[in-house]
Amino acid sequence: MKIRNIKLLFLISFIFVGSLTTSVASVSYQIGVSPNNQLIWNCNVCNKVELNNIFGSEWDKSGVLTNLSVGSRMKWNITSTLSNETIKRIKFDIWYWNLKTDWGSRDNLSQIIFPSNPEDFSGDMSTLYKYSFISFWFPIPVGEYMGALKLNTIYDVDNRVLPTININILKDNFSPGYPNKDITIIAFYNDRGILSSYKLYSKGNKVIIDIALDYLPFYVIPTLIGLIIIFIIGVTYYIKRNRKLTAFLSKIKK
Amino acid sequence: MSFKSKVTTISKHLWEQKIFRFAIALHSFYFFLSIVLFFLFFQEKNDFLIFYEVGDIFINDIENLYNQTSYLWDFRYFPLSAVFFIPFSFFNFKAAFVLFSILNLVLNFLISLVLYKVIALIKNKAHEKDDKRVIVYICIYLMGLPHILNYIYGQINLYITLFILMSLFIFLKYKSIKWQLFGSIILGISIIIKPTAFFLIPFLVIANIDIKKKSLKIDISRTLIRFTGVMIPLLLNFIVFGMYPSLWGGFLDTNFTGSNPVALNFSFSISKLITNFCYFYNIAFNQLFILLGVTIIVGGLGFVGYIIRRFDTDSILYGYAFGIIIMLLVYYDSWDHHLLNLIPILIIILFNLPRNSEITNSIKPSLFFFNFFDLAFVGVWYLIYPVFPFNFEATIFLVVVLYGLLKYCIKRNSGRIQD
Repeated sequence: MKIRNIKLLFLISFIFVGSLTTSVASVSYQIGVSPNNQLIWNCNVCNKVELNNIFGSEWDKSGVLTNLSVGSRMKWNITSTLSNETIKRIKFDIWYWNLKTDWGSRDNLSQIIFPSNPEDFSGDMSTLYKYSFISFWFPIPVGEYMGALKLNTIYDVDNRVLPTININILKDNFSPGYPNKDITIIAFYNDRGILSSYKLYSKGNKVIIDIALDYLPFYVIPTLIGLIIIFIIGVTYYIKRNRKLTAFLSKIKK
Repeated sequence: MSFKSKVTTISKHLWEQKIFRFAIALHSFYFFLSIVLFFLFFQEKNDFLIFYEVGDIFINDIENLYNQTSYLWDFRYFPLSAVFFIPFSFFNFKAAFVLFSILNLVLNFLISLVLYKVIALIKNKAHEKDDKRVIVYICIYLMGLPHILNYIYGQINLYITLFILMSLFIFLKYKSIKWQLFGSIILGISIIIKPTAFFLIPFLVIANIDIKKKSLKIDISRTLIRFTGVMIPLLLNFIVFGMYPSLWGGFLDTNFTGSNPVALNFSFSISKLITNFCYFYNIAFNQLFILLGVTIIVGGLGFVGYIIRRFDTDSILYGYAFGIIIMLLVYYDSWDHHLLNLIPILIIILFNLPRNSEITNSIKPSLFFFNFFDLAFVGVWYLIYPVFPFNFEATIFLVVVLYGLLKYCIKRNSGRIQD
């Protein structure tokens, strides 16, 4: 009876697994931000001398790196989103990089459009986003979306752990002097499809630009404190136990 | 007694034990859960996708074997490892994954069997005569949480574990030259499939330095045979590199200098913790120098400890433990499921040590951490990586085991009951 039950359990499991193979739907992409969401990025490192050497003096005159400097911040205010079968679009007000505490009125308005099916993306990311080489926003699930994009060979999407884009650009890759040195960019995104961290490196992994999203999920600090407490308790327990054990073993030996 | 009746008797004996029934039920749950999770969430985010592709590329477009645009994630292993995956590329992807998972399940039972055999061979006389405790530990291995990720990702760690245990069994049981060659060839094949066992090679040396007497004892012929055996399968790869020179550059770039070693992740190797630190605090670094530095320090400590050990019996077992721990601490990518290579070795060591040995107390907590808790800390890493991107807990337990083994090798009276 027992063996029959086990056989039955295995049979049901196999049928269940078999049925799953035919019922899996393809990924449906969404927009991870909503109107009135405010996104702020901080610039932690900006080596202007090195950037001038690499890109020339025009790199901070237009685009998403406009006026970039150490300690400056950039803000986007999402004004509308559109998600249908053909496109995913966000429109937003933009305050370019500045050191002001009061944001004041917006500097510009802009939009980002991606096809709903990433395989339909035919643009060249390095032309669309000159100097930054990437978009600061993608549809979600971001790892799957980026992984399905057909990008040119300088891009390597690694969504194994964090949705990450690695970009390796050799000197003179696009035209003579652009860029003027080999550079590497590592950018990763959060689960809302927003750029979390952007680092531009020159040779020897020297950081030239470091941009980070100014947002910390509520659970981060409590979890870290919990981990520290567990660690302290663990170490204390281990030391106490070891002392007791050593005393016990020496007693036995005596 | 016929083979069939022998199997029936053993099965009955095992089934009578509650923990065995529980382990089988739990392991079956892991297996089915992994397949369900694969079909629901992980079909397009899976290591097996790469293995599946690589078999096809090896047959049809070998020049592009290390062209990473062909894969979801980088293919890093030796070129001949692709041969192993060719049969799977004849099926459709989903069927190939299910077949591969079933093979993984079978492998786990083979591993349990070899584990039992090895323990029976090396069990310290201070342990119980019956096999109840051995079965408990084999059940603990089967209940290990790293199996879940190993199944979900379609990983190949179990093949490595089986080959490592088989070669260990051969080295421990047979001393003749032909068996030494055979054991090391098996180890070489495991390195072809995945280089996890690469750092086991130096520990094949049969040598011992007696510091007090200032003498070196070395069995040159058997050492050479072992090195020859392990190199035969590896050198076959170099024939492929010779035939397709572009593959060599791709192999080196992917493994040692590409951008992937820089990206932030939850690997628990010391090299990765250092690169994560440099990444997080914007410190310029060279990942290859970090790898070499950590290899020299950790590998050097392990090797010196092994060579100056104060015992000979079953020493290869400790060499294997050093080799795997060094690999896990040194190479950039050390994931939870890689612990499936180490856990059986630690279990064997527990039975090789005297019951009340001092280092049992450092190995046991580490074994339980690797088997049941490490996975939870991977989850914790995801929660705290924006402010603390270091999955350091497994690293500490690995260092504790390394320290324990070093102490055991160096200490004058380690409490061994020699045969």
